[in-house]
Amino acid sequence: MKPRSSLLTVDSNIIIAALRTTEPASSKCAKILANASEHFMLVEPSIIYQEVCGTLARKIDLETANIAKEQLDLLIEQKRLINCDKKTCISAFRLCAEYGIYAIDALYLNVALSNYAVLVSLDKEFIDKLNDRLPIEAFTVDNYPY
Amino acid sequence: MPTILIKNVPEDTLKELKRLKVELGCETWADLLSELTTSCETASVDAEQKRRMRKGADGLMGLQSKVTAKWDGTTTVLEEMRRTKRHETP
Repeated sequence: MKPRSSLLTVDSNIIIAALRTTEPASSKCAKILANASEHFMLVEPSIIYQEVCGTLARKIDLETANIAKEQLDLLIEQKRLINCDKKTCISAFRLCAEYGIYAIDALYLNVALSNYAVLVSLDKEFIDKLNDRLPIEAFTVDNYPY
Repeated sequence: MPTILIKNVPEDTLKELKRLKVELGCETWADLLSELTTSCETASVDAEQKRRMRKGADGLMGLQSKVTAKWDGTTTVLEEMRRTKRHETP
């Protein structure tokens, strides 16, 4: 199956779940990351660094967070890392009302929408709120087809 | 502008170039050469980035055993990430 876009926005929860192998969806998340380069380039909001590395720094240690930072640098090309500046946040907050989603989730959705990227998240509640009017493909880990 | 003359172009290649010229909307052969050069550069950059992506994904997977071993408590990743985002957890 060929995706409609060559860009993919991966929610931070996919990356963390891939690292914790006792998570029920861990192997699926790891597979999404491992296979991403076959079809896609990643396009991500810059807050992904804080979410992934901040979580690892708190739950594991700073050394692990630093290593993860280096890997994110490799995974996400600089030009496809969208800064969460004032302009980005202003264009994202309307999505909270439109889809009834949380503020940070809206940053991911905004990046995906702005770049016509495929969106994937571990959070079914988030993806379920995005209705059929969405002009991009959005998947949970369970129904991600690529 | 410089001019190049290309001799001995195989018939099949010429046919393919003509097809591409139409398909890519190029008015001249120079336009087509420019378009093809850009495409090749993009493909080359993409291949390099894909190699970096695979390296990054492999590097992340290298953290699995440590993260799994040191992740205290029964909190799931989704619950932890919702906390990070200050979402309500059930």
